[in-house]
Amino acid sequence: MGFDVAVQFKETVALIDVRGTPECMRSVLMDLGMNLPETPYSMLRWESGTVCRVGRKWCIVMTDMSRELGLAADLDELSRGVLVQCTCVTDSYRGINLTGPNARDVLSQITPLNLHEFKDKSATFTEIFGLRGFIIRCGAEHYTVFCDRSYADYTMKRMRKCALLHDNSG
Amino acid sequence: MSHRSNRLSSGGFIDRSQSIGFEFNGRKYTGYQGDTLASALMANGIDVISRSFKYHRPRGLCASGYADVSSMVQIDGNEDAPNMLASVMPLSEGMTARSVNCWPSLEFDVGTALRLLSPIIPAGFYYKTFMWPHWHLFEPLIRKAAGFGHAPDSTPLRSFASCYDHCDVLIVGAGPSGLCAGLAASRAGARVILADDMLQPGGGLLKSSAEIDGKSSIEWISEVVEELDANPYVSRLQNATVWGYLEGNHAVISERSPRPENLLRRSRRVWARQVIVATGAFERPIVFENNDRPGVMHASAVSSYIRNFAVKPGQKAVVFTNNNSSYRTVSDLNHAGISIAAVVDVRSRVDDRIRDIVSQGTEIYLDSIVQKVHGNKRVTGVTIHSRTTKQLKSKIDCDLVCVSGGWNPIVHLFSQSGGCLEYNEQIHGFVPAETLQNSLVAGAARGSLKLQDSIRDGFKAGQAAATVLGFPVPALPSLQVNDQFNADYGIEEYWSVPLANRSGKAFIDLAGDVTVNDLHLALREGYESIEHLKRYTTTGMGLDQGKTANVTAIGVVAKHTGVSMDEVGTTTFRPPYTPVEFGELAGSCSDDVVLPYRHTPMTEWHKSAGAVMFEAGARWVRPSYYPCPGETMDQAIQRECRKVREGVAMYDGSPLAKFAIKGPDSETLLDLMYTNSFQNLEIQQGKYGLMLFEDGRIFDDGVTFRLGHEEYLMSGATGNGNLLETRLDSFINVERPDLNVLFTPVTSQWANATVCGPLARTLLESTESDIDFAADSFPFMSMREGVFAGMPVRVFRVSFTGELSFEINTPARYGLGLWNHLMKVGEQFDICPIGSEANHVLRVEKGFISLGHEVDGTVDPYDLGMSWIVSKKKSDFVGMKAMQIRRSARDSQQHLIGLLPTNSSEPPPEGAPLVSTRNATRSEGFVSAGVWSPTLDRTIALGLLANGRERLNETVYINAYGRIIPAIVSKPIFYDSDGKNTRI
Repeated sequence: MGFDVAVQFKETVALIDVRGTPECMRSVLMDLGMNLPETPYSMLRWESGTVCRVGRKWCIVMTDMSRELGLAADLDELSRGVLVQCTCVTDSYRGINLTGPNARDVLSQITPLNLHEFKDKSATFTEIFGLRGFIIRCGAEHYTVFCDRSYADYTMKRMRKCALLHDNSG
Repeated sequence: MSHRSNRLSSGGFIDRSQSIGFEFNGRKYTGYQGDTLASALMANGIDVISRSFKYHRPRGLCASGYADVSSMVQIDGNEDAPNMLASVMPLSEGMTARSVNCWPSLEFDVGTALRLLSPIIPAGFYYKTFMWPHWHLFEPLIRKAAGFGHAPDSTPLRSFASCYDHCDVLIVGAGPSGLCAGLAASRAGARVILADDMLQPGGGLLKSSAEIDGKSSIEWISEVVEELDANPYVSRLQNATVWGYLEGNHAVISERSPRPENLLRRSRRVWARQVIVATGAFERPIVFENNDRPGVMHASAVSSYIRNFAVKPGQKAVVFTNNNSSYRTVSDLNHAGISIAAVVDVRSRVDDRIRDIVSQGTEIYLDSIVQKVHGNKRVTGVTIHSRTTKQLKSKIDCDLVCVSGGWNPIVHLFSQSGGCLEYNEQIHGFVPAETLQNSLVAGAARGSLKLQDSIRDGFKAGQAAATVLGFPVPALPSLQVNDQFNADYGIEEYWSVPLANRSGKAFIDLAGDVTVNDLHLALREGYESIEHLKRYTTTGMGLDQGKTANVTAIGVVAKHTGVSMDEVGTTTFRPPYTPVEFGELAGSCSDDVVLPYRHTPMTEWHKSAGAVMFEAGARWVRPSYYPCPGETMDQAIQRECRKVREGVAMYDGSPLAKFAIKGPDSETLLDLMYTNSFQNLEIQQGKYGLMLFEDGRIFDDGVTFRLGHEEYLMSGATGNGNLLETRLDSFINVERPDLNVLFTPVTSQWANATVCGPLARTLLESTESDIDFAADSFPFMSMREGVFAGMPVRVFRVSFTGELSFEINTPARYGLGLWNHLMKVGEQFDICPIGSEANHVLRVEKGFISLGHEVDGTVDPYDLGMSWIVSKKKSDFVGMKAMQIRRSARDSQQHLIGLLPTNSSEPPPEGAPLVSTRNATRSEGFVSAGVWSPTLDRTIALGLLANGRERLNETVYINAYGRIIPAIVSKPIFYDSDGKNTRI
């Protein structure tokens, strides 16, 4: 028996990378009915999307694919003349869900992040097998790891290995 | 098969209801749950476990835990592993072990013949011999003789893993001080990791008869462990060794019994805010002739086997000591019913209280030494001499010699952390002094060798660590410790018994078969520094890394040279503290995920098309070439090249590094990063640029397009993506935070299919698109955004092949669809995919520079004949000043040149030196790229040659692994020198 965890690719979600001063980011997001989480490394869910604040001057806005073009266009429009960079990065990342009682045990093999302090609704960029990516915590036993799309096959294979979801006896 | 059974009828931490079968050297035995392999072997009457490293002397169990190098075995079966210590291997059903360093068998080992050669193979003999005719003649044999065991042939059934962890307090060792530190820190609310390398917690307490708070030591340990295990903020790792204490309070732990059970080992890398080193102490031996014979054991190890495993290490014992702690063993021997033939004490007197422990009728030889042990595969007796007069006192029959030369605090981890050591004259051992990291030392590890001191130390350390971290600390509990054996340590420094017989062997380091005579020889030969002595004699360089040998060796050297222990000093303690299996270091990084790899959305297509894939920098796995059936690599590459020059082809350019840049200071940023000017670049226009390192040499090149008013898309070399991102990040956030500019890496956001060749435009025009591909409306170095075959695209007119070329970018999700569409519509033009190899040939023909070839970290733009790209108007850009200084030096510099080999159909190898005459040996440059050009139907090459531009038409010589190839120096462009084909 391996760890009690499911490791699966997440359904594609739209991701918009938003960078700028907190004030500028806040003003742009508020026009779309969202706001920036007060503290970095946390996330807030809004009707129109989830804002993951992954740094002091950096957040990732997540929403359904059906809203991708609209949101990107709105952000593009709102960020004109303001020092905020909104870049669609939906295709830059691939999400992998880790769910189950041992999700943290598996995650601890993947990232040097202090998972004791990584509470629910936390979000941060970190190392994933030594490569850059970001992780969000969506519940007590649910994490989503977003890795660079080009590394997705490698990351998934190795994550499943960490979860012992393989059989090398034969 | 019947064996002598040494198992006591009661006691020990073994479960006699669970019998375990195992095999050693082909014979079957049984032990119990709770046994180590060593205790089970001892219980079955096995005296000889292994053969020694150099002289192949028989060796038996001699110490306990990780100090017993003589118990090294090879584990066979599904989880085979070499160099495993039987003394710490938990016995498991079906375990199969065998001795190492013996042939054909442990009992009859041909290698023992080396003993005859021992006079001519002392320490350092291999530095003086085997020099003629050549060391490499002997090397294979020496290497073969030096190895122990063999590496596993197959993948183990269970897995290796590694993980990360964080805690407030990491406590190393679960002896009395470690347990107390754990209690104190956890009661304060700290998150604690308690790691202990033994099979069960308690350390020295396990073999103690002391009472703590009115409970037996065993009961007390159980209660403490229960409390710790009930605390969710405590992780207790048993059978887990902290083997490295690195910078930043970062420790590495080897877990040997991890959960879940299908894990074989796990390496846990821990960042701790505070570390408490409670590693205890190792007993050390006294060195005398034949002190390595099976049956000569550390006194504390004898106690361990009796109390922990209910095994009798012998039938008739002699105890040899210089301190009071070994009298505990006297008591344990009595308890186990082992007769004590004599106690030999180097001291001239002992306390009456200590003397009373020894049974009446057992003689205590004071001021005496064990001069020599008799026996071969087992001790048969000892010779006792007077310490002062050297006169023979007695010869006594025995099969067990219990030796104690004192205790060495285990300071390895503390020392690894950067802490300083000092010699303590009270305990005659090295103890921690100044600490450099957030660490504390408690218990025997800092020289507190009495139980009550150790317990108090532990509590204090736990409290201190918690206090520093800001936790509210409860009052120190007052534990009543009643240790019947409450004697002072009472040690008298004594390291080694002088040999009566010059040819006798008294071993300092059993792991490397290093004798006292070896040390003396090295000293005579002038090796005075302990570090030199270590390397010359290999003392402390064996499997145990000198756990028991090092301090004794220092003592012997100090005595011999007449200097203090502090002056001799210690050698350097380095990780790992215990051997670590490679699998632990690799963790999940094995099989097909050893190294990270990157795929584009078209990777599977390339593979299914039969492409030969390879890693092309920055971990990208790319197609090298696409061989047709029956085609060689060269034929495939030439076919692909011809297709680009004559028709149309396509390659996957997705890996190209890309960055979106935005802000009013974007232009300023570009002007600072690149050597040329980006002022006045029109929207939808692009410009090629060179970036320099701060030292003025070329770092990267690429094309940047202006997307909008304050928006740009920068591209860089595939292999430079991460470095370029770091440089941009550093430049914007550290060097020039005043710039109002932002950037986002978008390399993986976009898939890229690059269509190139004279028919490229025709092909694209055959697909429905809102982009006008006509030359007039879509000129070279411009870009267009639009919809192509229903997909959103950005198309760039840039060329790396020297032909008409369109780089079509689309969000990665459409990448494969775009590729498939282009291949389909391209069928009518006989399109073919091309790989990196063809690209390389084409760019060499065109004289385009490439990272890692011409741009090798040593050249500036002038060297490559690219002065045209260095702005003369700009006041600054990264590397400008350094480049100007470099240029003003006017030293002979290498220039990019072309090479036309005159008599070779084989491309000259990259890196081959260029010389000026056939027989010259001084290199004047090198070949940076050599190819067979299908366009020119000959070999061509690019290279860097001293003053190359002034040497056009000169013949130089390429030294291709000894084969001399004459070549004519030419301009570094072989095809379409005016660039017409690119601009059409």
